[in-house]
Amino acid sequence: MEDKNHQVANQVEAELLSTIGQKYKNEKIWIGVLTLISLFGVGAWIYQLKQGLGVTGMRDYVSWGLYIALLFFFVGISLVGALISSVLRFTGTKWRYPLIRIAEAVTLSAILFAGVMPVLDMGHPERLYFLVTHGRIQSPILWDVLAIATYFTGSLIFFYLPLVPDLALMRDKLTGISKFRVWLNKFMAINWTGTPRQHKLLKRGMAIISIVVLPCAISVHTISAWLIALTMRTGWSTSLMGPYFVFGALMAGAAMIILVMANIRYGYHLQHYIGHKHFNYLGMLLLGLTAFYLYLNINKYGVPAFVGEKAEVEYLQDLMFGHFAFAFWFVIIAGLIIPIIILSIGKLRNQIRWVVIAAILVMGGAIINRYLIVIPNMLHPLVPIQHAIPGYATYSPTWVEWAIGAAGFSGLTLLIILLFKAFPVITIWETMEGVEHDGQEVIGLEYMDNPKLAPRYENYEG
Amino acid sequence: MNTEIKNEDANNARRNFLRKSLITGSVLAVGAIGLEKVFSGEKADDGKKVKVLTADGKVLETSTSNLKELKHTPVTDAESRKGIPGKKFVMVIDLAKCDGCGHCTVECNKMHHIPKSKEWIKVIEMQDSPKEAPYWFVKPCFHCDNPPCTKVCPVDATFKREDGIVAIDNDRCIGCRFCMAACPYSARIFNWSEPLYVEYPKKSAKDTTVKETSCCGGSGCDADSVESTTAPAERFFESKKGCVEKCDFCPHMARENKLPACVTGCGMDAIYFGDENEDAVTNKSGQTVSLSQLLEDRAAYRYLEELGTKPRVYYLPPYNRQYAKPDMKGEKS
Amino acid sequence: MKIMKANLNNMKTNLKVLLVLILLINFNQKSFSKDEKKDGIITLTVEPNDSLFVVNATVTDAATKAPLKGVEITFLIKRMYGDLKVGNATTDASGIVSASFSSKMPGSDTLGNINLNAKVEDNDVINDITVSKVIPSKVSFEAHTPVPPGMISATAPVWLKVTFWLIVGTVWGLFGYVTFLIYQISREKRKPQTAPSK
Repeated sequence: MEDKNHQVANQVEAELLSTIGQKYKNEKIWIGVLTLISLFGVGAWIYQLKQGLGVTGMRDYVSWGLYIALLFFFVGISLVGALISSVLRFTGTKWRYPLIRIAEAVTLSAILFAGVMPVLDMGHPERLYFLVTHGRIQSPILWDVLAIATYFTGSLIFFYLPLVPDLALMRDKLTGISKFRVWLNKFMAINWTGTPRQHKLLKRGMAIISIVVLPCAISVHTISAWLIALTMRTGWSTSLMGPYFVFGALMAGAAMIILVMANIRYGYHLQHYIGHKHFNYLGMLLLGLTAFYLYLNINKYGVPAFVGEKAEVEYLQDLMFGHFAFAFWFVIIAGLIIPIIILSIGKLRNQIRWVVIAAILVMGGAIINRYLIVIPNMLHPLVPIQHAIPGYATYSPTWVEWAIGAAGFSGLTLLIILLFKAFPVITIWETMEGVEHDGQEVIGLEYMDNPKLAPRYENYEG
Repeated sequence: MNTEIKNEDANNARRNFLRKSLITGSVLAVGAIGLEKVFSGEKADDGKKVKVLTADGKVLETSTSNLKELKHTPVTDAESRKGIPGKKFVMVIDLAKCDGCGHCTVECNKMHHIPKSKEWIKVIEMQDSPKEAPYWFVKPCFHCDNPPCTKVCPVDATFKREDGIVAIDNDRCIGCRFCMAACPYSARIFNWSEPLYVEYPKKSAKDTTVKETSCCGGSGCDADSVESTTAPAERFFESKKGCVEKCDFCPHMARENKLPACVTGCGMDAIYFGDENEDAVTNKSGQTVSLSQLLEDRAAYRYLEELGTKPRVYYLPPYNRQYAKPDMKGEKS
Repeated sequence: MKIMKANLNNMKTNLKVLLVLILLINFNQKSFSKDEKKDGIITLTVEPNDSLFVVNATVTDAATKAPLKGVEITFLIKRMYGDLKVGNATTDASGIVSASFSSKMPGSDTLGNINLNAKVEDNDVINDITVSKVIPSKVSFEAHTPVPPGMISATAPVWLKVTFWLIVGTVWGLFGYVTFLIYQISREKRKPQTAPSK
């Protein structure tokens, strides 16, 4: 058995090394379109810098709009890295290997763009350094900036540390790459030779970061929730906001991971590394999180609806039966209830296609939900809106906001693609370790014995 | 005959004396009035010349009568963050007197050179419940003692001063708008685009309906000289793109012992302003009343007291009004 | 005839004088009325007791030092934007009026001085006059009441400073330590390979 495992481990090494730099299906088109969108967004931002924030749809009543909604969304999906890498590593979950690096890459990109969103929303971005020179530590915005910076650093270290042995592998065995990349691998592999002491240091480092990054992640999203909750507004100042955001984030993150994984599996031909087992378990995770999020939504909206306080009722009526009715019920029904139904059915959950459909619905619901958290409340302040200038008492994002928002998404995706151009999508040494210790079935590898499904061995020298 | 002549002479003499003294007296009186006019302050051109430095760096020699008095008090940054010593400003708005004319808003806009589209003090129509009496509600910034806005500012651009005023430093504000989200009274506005600086036409001398409000006497602000000597937090005319602004209780007027623009703009004498330390508030007509007495007698209250923000603006309930109440049908915008 | 002429002349002169007089009267009403009013002196005394300040004003004729009756005095306390009226009374035969105000009346400045004015205006008996008196008040207020450190002020409360820096220091300290571990990994000397690296 051990021989077999060893054999499989070597096969894993060979295959995964070959995925580095491999061309994703229709890669050129993807990168081209995404770059275009990103550049357009940058152009829109420059236009906004010159003209002022008046080019957006935000005005005095709805003074926070799409940018802040996207901030919450990006911070939300960044939580998945901590959840999967940290928690699954910590608990020693056997089927985690294909997920962890993808999760970390998503986290890194998401938190980077989450940090960029508030800067796009500022009236004076050139004064950002005032947060350091004149910062008030009583302000939740300062906590948010610090938390995002901390989480980014932690994620960066958490992405890099487990990458070191893989970099060493690449340094030693990867051929057919440019001189610069050879040098880069050598530099970043920091003399890793796999000695016991190095392993010990690595394990210690990873353990510390695993422990630290999880409270970091939770605090990032709780503090983002406090940007909303620590104000005296109907529907915002609820104690539930912190947990609501955290679990919404976990749910959206789980959906994101499913989507990214399905994408990578398809694009990089990793069918037997990311198999039904992973989607099944992730589907169960998503089911649990979505069900819990539905429970939180019932609490958040049902309780004030029952109590019937005047300001709350007015806001809820607008949300549920007024201008936002379609969006609201889409979130609840299509974004929560239908995915729960899909994922509860075992048969469907075993089909990757259905899990992906459920994930798409959840993601869509999550994005719209972030919008619903920010905008309707601002249209129902405690003092009635009267004699408002046309355009001030409503909100609809302008092309600038859409462009910048789209650029956020495209930039995030581009960054993930770029990361996986340079580094292996699935962590090689940990997968090999997993195969050696537990065997391929346990960790979820499939069809390792079927040579027909084995990819071509490019860039590999035994 | 002699006595007659003597009497006549005496009469003549008396009359002459009277006449002369009256003429002299009248001449003296007229002269006195004339002199009075001279001493009352109208400057005659005495021909003195002085060298001055103009705003664009040129040296100019001009007569002293051409110089404008520098009427504002220079304020350093530290002073603008501390506040005016010994004062605790407070405002009382008598809803029984407010007729919704909106002159307070107009005068405030004039004082701060902001266009009609921006309102630092708003007048809204309120009706707390269908059977209760509608009333006009005047809402400046409340300059709360427990302000939710200063709590959340990340760079200390908006801050609470010792004299009760919550001020905004436009050179510090980064435009994050957290203070706007945090204010439950919707008191703050944002400059989404390059703000207009409006030079309102000077009031004609014949118009005596509204008392002159601007501290420079309506002759036009010398914005450059004010800007160079006044800290950003007390620059009452400088709206900045990408920064937040709001009612500031006119501290630049307080330093001249003058009332804010809204107070002097209110034709109904509905707005009182004063110093809580002195326990007195004054309205446009100069009626000065004891603050504590007024609040007690008229059962004053603060808006949304239960929020715990401790506003510095008190309202006197609209009881025994003489004016027409607002037409609430057109209330929803 | 001579006498008649003389009389006529006299009458003309009289008329002229009368005319001039009338003109002057109209021209200088003030100066004319000045002749009728006297100058008064007001002396103020203040008796503070437990709950009130009692102000007594005595009006006397400037020339004769006799008390004047029927003089209406308004008592005002100087406030920042105007004058607070605390009393209004007319003197009786003894020329004395009094007004009172609460002993909790705050001063007009941070030194605790109440600027009291007793004002006579548009009175028939005496000319306009305002007399001031500075009364030390029993209620004082500080010139500077700094906003205490707290969540709303520029300086943070101590408990927040401690908590904040403790948390930030711990987390970033740990990051620093892990970076140090990475450095240590890189410093590890190459050992001869005895088993294939896994």
